[in-house]
Amino acid sequence: MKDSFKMEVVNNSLHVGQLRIIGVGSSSVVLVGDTEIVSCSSIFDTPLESLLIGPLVPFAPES
Amino acid sequence: MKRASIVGSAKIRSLLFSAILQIGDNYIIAPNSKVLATQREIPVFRGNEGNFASFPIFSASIPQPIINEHIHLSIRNENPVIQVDIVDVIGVSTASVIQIGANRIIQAESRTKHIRQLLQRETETTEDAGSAPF
Repeated sequence: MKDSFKMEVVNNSLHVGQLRIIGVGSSSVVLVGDTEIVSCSSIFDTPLESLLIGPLVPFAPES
Repeated sequence: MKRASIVGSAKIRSLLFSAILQIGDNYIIAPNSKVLATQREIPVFRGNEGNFASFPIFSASIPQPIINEHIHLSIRNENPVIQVDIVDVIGVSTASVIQIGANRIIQAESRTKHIRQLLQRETETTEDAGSAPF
């Protein structure tokens, strides 16, 4: 059997006065509380070839 | 003993594109968002434009961490309350999460392809285009 990790948590008090946030975006997390697993992925692509200069050609339609 | 989530007041201006506000506990949150963001010099858009299949970014696999730790977790909640008096947020967007409370798993994914379409300038020479600072 694998070695296991023992963790003991005592939550005495969790009281937040005020939470002021401008923005949360692109698979981000704001958490007041407990969790076990968080995995956030975000891909943002704006390469050189995504700046198209020339006649405005529409994209292929939805399938 | 589980904890109750108590929020005095929550003011959120906008919550969009698979964003989630959760007050209280849950097991899993898995928001997912695919965005094709297009800016055109002349803003003419056909209603049905954009096919995710033609951009590999929307189907590329994202490597995920392998979670294989064995953890014996014991939690004792002396004060069974999670309290936030005031929540004041302007925007939550594209597969984001704000939670007051507990969860087990958050698995968020956001994919954005940003394209700008500009018209050719009459005065633009090839020399100028070559020295453009990108």
